Amino acid sequence: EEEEIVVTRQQEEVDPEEEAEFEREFAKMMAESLDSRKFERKQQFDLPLPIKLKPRESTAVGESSAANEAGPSEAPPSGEKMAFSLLTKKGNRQQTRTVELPSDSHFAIAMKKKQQAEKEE
Amino acid sequence: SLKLDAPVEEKELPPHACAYCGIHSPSSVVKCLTCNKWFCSAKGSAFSSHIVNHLVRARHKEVQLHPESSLGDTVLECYNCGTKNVFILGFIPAKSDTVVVLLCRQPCGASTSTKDMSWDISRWQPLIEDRAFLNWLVTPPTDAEQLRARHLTPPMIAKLEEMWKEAPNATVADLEKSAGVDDDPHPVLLKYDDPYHYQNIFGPLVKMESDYDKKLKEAQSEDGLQVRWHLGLNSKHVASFILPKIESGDVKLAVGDEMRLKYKGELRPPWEGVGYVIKIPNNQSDEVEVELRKSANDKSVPTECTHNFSADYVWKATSYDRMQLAMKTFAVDEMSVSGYIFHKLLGHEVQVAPTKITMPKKFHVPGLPELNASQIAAIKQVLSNPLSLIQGPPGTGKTVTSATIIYHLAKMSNSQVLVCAPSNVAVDQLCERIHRTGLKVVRLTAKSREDVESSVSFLALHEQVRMNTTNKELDGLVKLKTETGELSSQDEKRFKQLTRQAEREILQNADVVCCTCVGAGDPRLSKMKFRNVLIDESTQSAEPECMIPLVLGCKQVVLVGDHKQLGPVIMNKKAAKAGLNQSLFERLVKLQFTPIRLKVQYRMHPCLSEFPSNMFYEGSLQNGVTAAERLRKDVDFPWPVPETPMMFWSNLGNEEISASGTSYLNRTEAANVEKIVTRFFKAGVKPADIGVITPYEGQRSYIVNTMQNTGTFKKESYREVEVASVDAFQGREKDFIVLSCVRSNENQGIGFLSDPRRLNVALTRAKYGLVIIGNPKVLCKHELWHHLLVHFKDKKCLVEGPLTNLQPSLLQFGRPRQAYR
Ligand SMILES: [Zn+2]
Ligand SMILES: [Zn+2]
Ligand SMILES: [Zn+2]
Repeated sequence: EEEEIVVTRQQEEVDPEEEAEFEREFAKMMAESLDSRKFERKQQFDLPLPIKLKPRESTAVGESSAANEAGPSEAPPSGEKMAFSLLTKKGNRQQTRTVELPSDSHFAIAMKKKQQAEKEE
Repeated sequence: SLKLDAPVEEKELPPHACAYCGIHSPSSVVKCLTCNKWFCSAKGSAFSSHIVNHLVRARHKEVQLHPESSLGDTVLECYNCGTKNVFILGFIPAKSDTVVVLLCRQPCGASTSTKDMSWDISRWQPLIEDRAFLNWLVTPPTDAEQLRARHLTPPMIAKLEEMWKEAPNATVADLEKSAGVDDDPHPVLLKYDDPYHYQNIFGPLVKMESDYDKKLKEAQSEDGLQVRWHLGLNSKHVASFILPKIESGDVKLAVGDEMRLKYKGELRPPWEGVGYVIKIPNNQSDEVEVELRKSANDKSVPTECTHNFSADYVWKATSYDRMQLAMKTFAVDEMSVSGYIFHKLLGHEVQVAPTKITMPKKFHVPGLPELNASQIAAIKQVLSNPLSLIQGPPGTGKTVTSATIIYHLAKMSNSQVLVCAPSNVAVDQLCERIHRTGLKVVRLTAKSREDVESSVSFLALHEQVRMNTTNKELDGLVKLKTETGELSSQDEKRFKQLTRQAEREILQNADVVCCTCVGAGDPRLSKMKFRNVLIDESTQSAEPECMIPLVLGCKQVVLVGDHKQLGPVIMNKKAAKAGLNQSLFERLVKLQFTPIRLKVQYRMHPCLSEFPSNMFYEGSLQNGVTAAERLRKDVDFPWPVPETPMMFWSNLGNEEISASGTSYLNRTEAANVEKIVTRFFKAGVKPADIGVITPYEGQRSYIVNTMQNTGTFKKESYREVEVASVDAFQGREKDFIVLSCVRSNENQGIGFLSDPRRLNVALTRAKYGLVIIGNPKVLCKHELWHHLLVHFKDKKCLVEGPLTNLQPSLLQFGRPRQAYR
């Protein structure tokens, strides 16, 4: 049986000083991380796309993964999704896993526009 | 030796639960690769997600996803150079395909895009956005998960992170422990942030009570006891002896408690044996009886010896352990109670969509009395709500109402009902009523109480197993065991196995399972789920005790009780003062949860219900019996007003400290109690219909002795009159009640008597007549008693002088000194 409840809880007040303090720490972390990479040798990134990718389907290149079948158990309730493949490396092997991007995310919007444009061509 | 209780599996959070809040759905947590702790993507009240919070505060940078998340145990790293620093990682999309890849911002993501490249580096997007990981990578927990999770404020998070620098394995629980090192326990609250907060407040209080109880019970060891032996009907040895320490009233021995008896004399080699208390001091005798457990060396029981025995209390932590476990289950197991009940228990504001139910056509249940309008109204309301409180003032048919509700719950929901109460007596009563409706009932008792007589023995689980003859093998073993007293170890093993199996079957087939609140923590129920739970006399149990039956999966809960009568008994004064003596029912009432009140009382003569109704129930009690129905015209008794069978008999004798030094007695009052009881006897009242109530143990034992020594009627008759404390009379009734107040001093307080709930109980036990013996000059200083005395005086029922010549008292009462609220 499904339970429908509405819980009202007071929003806790966040101490603005603490918030600012955390914000500083966060910014510091970002800056330091970037700084530490400044003198890293440039590595050109150019990778061919994995072949035969069918969106909206779980595809694994190199090895099949059980985790692929188990999608997110509780997808956020808002709106539509668009399936993308995330390309990762496992050891030296390349593999792809399906990720569900919300259709209002940057990548999804851009991709839809592109698809639309292609159709019109 | 025999292991009585199977170990209970503790419910634990999985290892991948967020180290801050406990959320653990695999798609919402990531592991910090530096410290190996898990954190979730909830933001809570902080303004960054838990994982980002941790990484920033601990200055850690590398993470891995959960193996069961949709991306498997992926380590987040740059595809190109392999760096794992999440603060510089981000995604780029392919130019013409739905593919993304993780790339570091510097240097890999900073390289220039070439026209023939398949990737669009210019659209690099950071992994951390808005102080959280992108939500399509790590799913934010649902609202329901977040509401059930531990609530950590940003300062607490900061403290915890500080602690981890010294002690990497510390937990939030350790944080709380280090915070509460002061002596005084934190008092209970009305509302709790989350179940951990709840546990943090109640856990230490239960621990305090448990430690105190242990100390008290273990201090009871006594040497130099004289023992009388006899053989019980079940051919077990029974030792009877007097425990002098009990008289002090500090020690509360109960039937079912375990004691170890030792022989320390020189007539034979030392011996010791363990058994259960089967009788405690009562008006029959002051002896304690212990029934020895059957054992291999049964023949060595020194029944030929009578002197030089000692008795030790074998203290068991079971009930306290079960309370702690229930609170833990409440915290970590999301199936333990429904969301609505969860938030209600914590005092949160929560609304629930109305449940669609079809009300029964008629509310009357076979085997139970007809119901009145207020009872029907209560039942209707209960059936359509997930949580209800029923307040049953004295004599308002609480048990019948409860039994009716249980019947309908079982029929309507088609799922089992768990019925509990704090005391065995109350459970038995209700169990019997439910049995009369034709429902299949099982009474689950503690192993230690299986031999204790009760009116519903035939419904007891062990008895149903014994009577169940369908399993020939088990039946054979039962017979063998009864005959020989013992089984071979192999047979014993098989016997236990078959018994467990039979128990499981009987429990699963029952419509209703009845047990005490503590009994609900029995391992035999731990795998069962009870959607419906009714707790009777819930106002007499401490909150953590009520939690035991609730965490077995409840979705619909009925708490029955009366917060205007006596509450739970807490022995440790500090724990009581911190609020452990407040019932869950009472807290819910304080949270503006209105109880449904039963309003028609069927017990007392209307003149007896008038004062309690006005004083404790805003005048709402109606009488379901007439004055004529509650007047015993055949009983010749000198009531000051014959049609008003009540009187306050002014006795000015002084109180004394009792022999134990910890209690009080009052000789004048005791002598007059005897005179009144004798007078009732002469008028033809049966001893069993008279009850003598006195709040002090010293006076209880003094009255019993006075009646024996000076009573002019048959000695046995006096012995059959129940003399007990107010607490012992709660939930019960007698035709006639004599109340001896005891306290009579110029300057000190009136102790126990100042509790309005105790007075309410004392005043509402009698059906046909009530005699109060006390010192009005002393009592009237207390506001509540002042009202009572004025009431008796107005009714011309305040009298003085000898019983043979009672005269109206002309005492004038000044303003009371102390307020009672
Ligand atoms: Zn870490
Ligand atoms: Zn968390
Ligand atoms: Zn890189």
